[in-house]
Amino acid sequence: MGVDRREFLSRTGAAAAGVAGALGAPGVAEAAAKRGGKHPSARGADPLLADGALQTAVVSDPSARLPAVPFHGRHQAGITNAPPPAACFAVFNVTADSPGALIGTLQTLTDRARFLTHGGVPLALGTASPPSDSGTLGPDIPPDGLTVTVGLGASLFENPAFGLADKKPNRLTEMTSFPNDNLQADMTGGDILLQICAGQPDTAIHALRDIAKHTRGGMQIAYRMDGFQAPERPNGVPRNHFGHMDGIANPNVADPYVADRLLWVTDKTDEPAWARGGTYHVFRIIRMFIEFWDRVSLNEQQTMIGRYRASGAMLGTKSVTDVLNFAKDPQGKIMPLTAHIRLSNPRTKATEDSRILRRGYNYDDGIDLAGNLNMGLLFNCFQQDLLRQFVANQTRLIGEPMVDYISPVGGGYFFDVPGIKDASDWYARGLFE
Amino acid sequence: MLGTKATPVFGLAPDGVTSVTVRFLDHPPRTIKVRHNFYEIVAPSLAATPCGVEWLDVSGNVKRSIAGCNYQLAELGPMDNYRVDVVHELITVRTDVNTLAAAINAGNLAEAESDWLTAHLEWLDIGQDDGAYGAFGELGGEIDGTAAGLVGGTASPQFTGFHKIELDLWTDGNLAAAAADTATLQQLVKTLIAIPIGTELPGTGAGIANWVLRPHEVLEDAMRDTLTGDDDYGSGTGLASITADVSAVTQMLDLLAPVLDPLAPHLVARASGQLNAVLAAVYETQSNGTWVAVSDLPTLARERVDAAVGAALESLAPIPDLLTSTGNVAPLT
Repeated sequence: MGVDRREFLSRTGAAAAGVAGALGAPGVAEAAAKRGGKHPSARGADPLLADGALQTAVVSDPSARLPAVPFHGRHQAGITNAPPPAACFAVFNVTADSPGALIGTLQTLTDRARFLTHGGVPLALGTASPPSDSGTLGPDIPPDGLTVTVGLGASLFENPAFGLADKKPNRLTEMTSFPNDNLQADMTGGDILLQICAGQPDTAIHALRDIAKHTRGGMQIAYRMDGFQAPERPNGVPRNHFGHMDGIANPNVADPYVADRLLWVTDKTDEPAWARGGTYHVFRIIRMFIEFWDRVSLNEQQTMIGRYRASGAMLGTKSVTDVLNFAKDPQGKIMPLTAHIRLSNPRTKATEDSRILRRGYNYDDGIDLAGNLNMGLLFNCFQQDLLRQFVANQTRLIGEPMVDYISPVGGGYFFDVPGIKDASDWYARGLFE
Repeated sequence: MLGTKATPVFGLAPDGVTSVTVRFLDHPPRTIKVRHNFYEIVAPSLAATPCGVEWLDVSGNVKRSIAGCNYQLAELGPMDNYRVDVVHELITVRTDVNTLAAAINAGNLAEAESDWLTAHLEWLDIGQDDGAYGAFGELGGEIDGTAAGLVGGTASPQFTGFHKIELDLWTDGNLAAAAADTATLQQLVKTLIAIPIGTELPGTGAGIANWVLRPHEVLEDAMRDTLTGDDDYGSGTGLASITADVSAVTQMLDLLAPVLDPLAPHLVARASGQLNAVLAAVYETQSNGTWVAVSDLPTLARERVDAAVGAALESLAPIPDLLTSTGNVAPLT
């Protein structure tokens, strides 16, 4: 205990200096107790009854609380903005059994997301009711960069209770198994995906808890996973559980020309009119066998991925932003032809329209039956055309050397609905007009 | 990355790296100069001429090359012996599968289950498992793969081989399906035997490099697929499978010991001891001589097996690096 406290002091620095004296006291008391003597400060008050210093939160940077992300816009938030550190992915099955009930659920979901992302003081219900809010974020809810991104699965459109079959986005299907997958039925598919991202895990969980409370009766959580973004180690793109930087090469969707060709459904896309401004969202729970990975040489790790582990630079290059000209390495002498980054993005004219926008989170979820750490990647990618982009990418990756170390075990295909335009709009409203 | 006795090996480093530190299992680390992106490692106290090497520029063009010795020569002998063993073991598998077919056709479920286990263990004893890394390619997956990744899962027509028959016998009790699936398995094994062993296990540099991955990968498969219960389709014989996996690893270790011992004098001995500990932990789980499914084991018994396999894996992991790759050399970035 004493050692932990000292570490606590050194990490918290000046902020903790004020309580140093109080923390020092137990050491003296312990010494006194060992000698069998009386506590040196024991005059009047019973030292065994007195409380120690308040154990306040250790925060690396207390000013890191994130500002609100705008809720209204052409597109949903949580897609192009930089992923904040914490995320909660929850897939729901809709239990509402009529279009009206489904609309009610979507409107409630919208109301809650609008309030939570903006933040503020929860409604006071008085003493005649349990409190309206769980209180886990304190009396005044901070926005903390919260985003709630809503995706709809094929099963929702195909449910005869809602009559939405002819509104289904043209490429949307259930996620079927790729040859190297090991999809588990109880964590695959589902009607509605909520991707909840925030600055801190408690903010994300608070939002899920609030939304689940308010939508009870209309939808039920089928499965969920929590994820985190690693901090910079030591700088740049966050690392995944393999120790490699993940998500280095994403298309430049800040350029509207690129975004309209790779990311969003537009008026030039062969999709229902209501879907414009939306995007296909692939969510895959990919187990990573980290014990096995850790028993593989660095050289093999790097040639499987195609980047140096320490710097994230492509093989044969110096900096993480350097791009190797694959055309000049046709035999794969520098970058193996089977390297993950070369297969998924061959960087040719013919494959440029299959690029995807990735936004992954690490997960860490206990152990498996053999006692191995159950860790992996919550893979998310966004694209205009599910088949032309993700499916084409994943098909190129079939049988890649890395498949022995990873196993996609769940997730699904969803369509992230267009953005909420204004205070009177709600998620997927266009579906019902 | 160390060559075999008296054989130096080489490495390539990116531009700007002027020296690398090489760690030896049983000697202190050494710092070695890099000249023209090339460095040479000679086992401590030994000296010899460099091996063949190609120098590449950043575009992948060969700037210069030198032909030289094959540092994998020492591994070719053990691999030859392994190939002979595989040929014999495949013949035994064929006989065992024929016996299984006879029991199924006679309508004897209990005997069929017993014969299935015999045949499956003989297959695992080869050390190529479901072909995930293996020499047998897709055929290996068809003979002993699971339904993972197949559209439709266990109902997929592509789900074939031992685990499909396991499902027929134990889970479904369907002898008619088992008869058809065993006929398929007989055909698959026949096809496999007809392929020249040199095609499956080529004695090329890449072929040898692939083969020396097996001592640890066989057990990695066991940890990932068997000890998690993932490849149990009803027989509950995963722990029996572990004994066959250990046998396969032991066989390869014995073959490689003459090559490994000079490089890492204690590795084979240590790993062998740990593999024996795996067997001890596994046999302890038997109840009246019958196997208990991994998922039904008492927690402590399961943890003992997992711990023993995990310890053996940590010892086996450096073998491919010792024999072929550029692992254990830093910094390569």
